[in-house]
Amino acid sequence: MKSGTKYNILSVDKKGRLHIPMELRKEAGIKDQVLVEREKDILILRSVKEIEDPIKFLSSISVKTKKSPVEMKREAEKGFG
Amino acid sequence: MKLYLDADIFLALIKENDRFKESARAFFAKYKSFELVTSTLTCMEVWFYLYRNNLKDKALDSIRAIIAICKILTYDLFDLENSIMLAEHHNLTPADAVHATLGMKHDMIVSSDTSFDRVHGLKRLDFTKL
Repeated sequence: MKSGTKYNILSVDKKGRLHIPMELRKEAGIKDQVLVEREKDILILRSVKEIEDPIKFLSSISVKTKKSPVEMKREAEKGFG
Repeated sequence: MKLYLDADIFLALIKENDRFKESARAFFAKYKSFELVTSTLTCMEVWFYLYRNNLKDKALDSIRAIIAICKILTYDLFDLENSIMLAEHHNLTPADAVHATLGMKHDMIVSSDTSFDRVHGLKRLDFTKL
């Protein structure tokens, strides 16, 4: 058991709904959406951060490149490879 | 007016400070009251770019930011058929052909990519020339 890790047993209703107590939601920063990760029988719920200023957020990434946006697009078109 | 956004304006936003980034920021400041749309392809391209540049931890929030900025369209098999024909006839990359197909359904495509000028009937707004 990791130190600092909290465990709760929650009920799932017949429709598959899970009620996460307010205290847990607050602590985890969960608002109206969660990201669900599944690793076999383990589900991890992660809070999804609200992007308050999306232009500011994207601008903050600030990738160092001398390429033009069209050249960046050509690079993106190569996919994950 | 409905404007379809190519992926390059978002890539301009995520790059280091330069004239392209400033142009992208200026576009969003000027056209924020317009109906802005893009597609799942743009989201994929931004993800690909971040992944290829060791910034995959930024991908999820970046996509959420794009969703907050504009409406996201999907494309169907008819769009893909049209895109294949556009790619053949106008020497476009497959991705650009999909953007062109979706752009033609709107008043203009917003892009700095001159490839789109080869497509008859597709009007382009170059955000770097604002």
